[in-house]
Amino acid sequence: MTSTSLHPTPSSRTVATEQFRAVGLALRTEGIFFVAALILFGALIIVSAVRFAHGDHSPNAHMGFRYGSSGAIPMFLVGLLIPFGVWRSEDPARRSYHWSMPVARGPHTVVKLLSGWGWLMIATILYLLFIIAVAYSVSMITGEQPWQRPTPAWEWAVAFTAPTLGYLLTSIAVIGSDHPWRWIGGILIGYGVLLAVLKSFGMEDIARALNTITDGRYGLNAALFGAVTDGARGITVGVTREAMATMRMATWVLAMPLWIIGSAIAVTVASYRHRE
Amino acid sequence: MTSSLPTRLRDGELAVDTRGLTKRFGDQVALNDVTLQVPTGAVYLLVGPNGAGKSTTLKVLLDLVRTEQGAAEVFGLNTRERAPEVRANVGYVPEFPTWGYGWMRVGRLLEHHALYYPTWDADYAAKLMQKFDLRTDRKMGVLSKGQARRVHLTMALAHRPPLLLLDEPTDGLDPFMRDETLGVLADHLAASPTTVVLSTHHVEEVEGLADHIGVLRNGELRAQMSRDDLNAGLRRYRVEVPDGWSGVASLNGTVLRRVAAPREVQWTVWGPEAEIVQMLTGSGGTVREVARLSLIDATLALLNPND
Amino acid sequence: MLISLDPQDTRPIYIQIVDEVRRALVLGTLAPDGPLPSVRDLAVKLRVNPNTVSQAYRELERQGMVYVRRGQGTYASHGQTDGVERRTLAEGVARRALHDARRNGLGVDELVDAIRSYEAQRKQEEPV
Repeated sequence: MTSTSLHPTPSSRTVATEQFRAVGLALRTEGIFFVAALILFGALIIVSAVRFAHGDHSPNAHMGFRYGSSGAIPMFLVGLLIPFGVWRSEDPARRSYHWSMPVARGPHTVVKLLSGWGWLMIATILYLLFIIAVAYSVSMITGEQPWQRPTPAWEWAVAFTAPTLGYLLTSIAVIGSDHPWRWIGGILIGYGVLLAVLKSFGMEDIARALNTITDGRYGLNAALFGAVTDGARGITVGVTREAMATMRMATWVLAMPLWIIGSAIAVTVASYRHRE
Repeated sequence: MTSSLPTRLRDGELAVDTRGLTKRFGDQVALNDVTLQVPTGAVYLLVGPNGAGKSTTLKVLLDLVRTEQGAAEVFGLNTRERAPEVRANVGYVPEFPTWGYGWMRVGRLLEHHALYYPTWDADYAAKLMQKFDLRTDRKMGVLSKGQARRVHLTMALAHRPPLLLLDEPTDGLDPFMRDETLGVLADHLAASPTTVVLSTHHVEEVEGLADHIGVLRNGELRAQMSRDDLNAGLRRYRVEVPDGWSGVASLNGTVLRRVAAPREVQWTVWGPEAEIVQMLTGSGGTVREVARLSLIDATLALLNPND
Repeated sequence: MLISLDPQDTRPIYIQIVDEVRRALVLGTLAPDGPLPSVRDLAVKLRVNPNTVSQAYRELERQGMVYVRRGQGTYASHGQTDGVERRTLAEGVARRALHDARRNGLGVDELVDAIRSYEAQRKQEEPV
């Protein structure tokens, strides 16, 4: 038996395509629920719009939409939870199937990660199209403008970056450990408990310093939704809406890449790390 | 003919060549200086009690487990540095039946697996599915242990890899399916040149297929040899001894078992037959029987020596 | 021709296959020029390594009991080997019987006497 008759490894293209299809299959049930939820929600809104158009409302009420960065919250939650669907493997033995394929483990894990992200972005596009469609449908029914206020471009972009960040963060735990819930729960509870303990001992300064992880200028909220809190709150009184919006965008533009690049590095390290 | 149990094979082309594999899980030693040698084209039976390190050894070959010391090569490829190439040439049946995506249907999983192995033979896969009485529409997660095992066998055989690593391939199968599996393996060997390393508790089943044997105990490779050498060197001697027999000083071999009754002693010894018979006769005993051992009896003697 | 292996037989399997073919030839269940199963078919039937079956067929060819027709398979040789094979079979039976006798502490003469008297007794008990 000579080495010339050794079998080849699969091509990267075949692997990438198949992983994308397989992950899509894994998420099929979730996808159906997602689309069903959108349709249901849309139907409810349209029904209200119809009733509104027939005068069935209080004098000062109106049905206008305003889409802001907080509109990305549902997709953010989807992004947080989807890795559990992508890596649906109840025990280490099942997980080892992915590792036994004739592909280098690190890149193979990243390919699966990216496949899940691809489906997440498709879901986000669907979500935004749905919102726009509902807004314009309601506008046609009620005769009002579809948008109360124009939405800046960056707030539309948040719909893509927030779920991406949520997806990456959860993926670090799911890829990096056998018990991701322990890590996620542990970090969240630990963070909350630590803050409460520090405050109760009167160590306000240390508590505030710790709190910048979520609420600071480069914190998680800033990275996700451009939220400006805590340190900046003191100066929001008397600030115009436009100036506020610019400040929020400014924080988001800096914080978002920081967090996304950081978590991308972490998840890549987790993907390449040898585990048994 | 050596007088101590051989642990190294004579020269030859090796499909699997490990050198001094040592692996610890915490403070438990799973593998201790294991040097496995599987000649190309051999059907190598790896025996040992549960926890002896058989599954771990197979996983090292696939780079699923990494050792602290030692190296392994499959077809001359380092298992750690060139792991994807090694895995492309291996058909693996793992010890756990929960392998493969539980939410995927059998047919879809085979499609998935096929894309990773360009040499996949779809007709052969269909034939195997039929032989193993498997349906493509059931989800992997709801299959019984035996059904899952058969799916894994199909996955391992259908791309006709040069090396098969089978960890308890008949585990969980009913007697009929176990027999069918052996037939499938024999047919597979006849059709494609394949090296096989398999571990099984049902040693008597592979009596006809195995031509090499390796004995693992507590992570150590106690013996490793071809069936021919085993047949030539291992004997059970039944000796009638007189009253007041003083015993025999030494036998030029490794005594694996010794059972004594009032006028009769039975030895299981690895060593040169003629010399051992001479020593036994010389000590005053009458050699009544010199018997070869079946594979299962030989395995038991090698696994549980009571010297 | 039916070939089966005795799980209790500890001799190398290729030797057992050779003996089974010899038995078939002597008994006539394998006629001269009759086909033997292919290596693959016999390996599958017996759940045996194909290399072992090949080894048996090579040994059979070496001993002149079979011949190979290029591209078509293995066939039984013509009957002049009959006498030789009968003697070889008898030697095999004798070897096994003597091995058993030794194990039980019996000598050759004791064994032969026992065989003759047992056969005589059996003939007496046979219904006419």
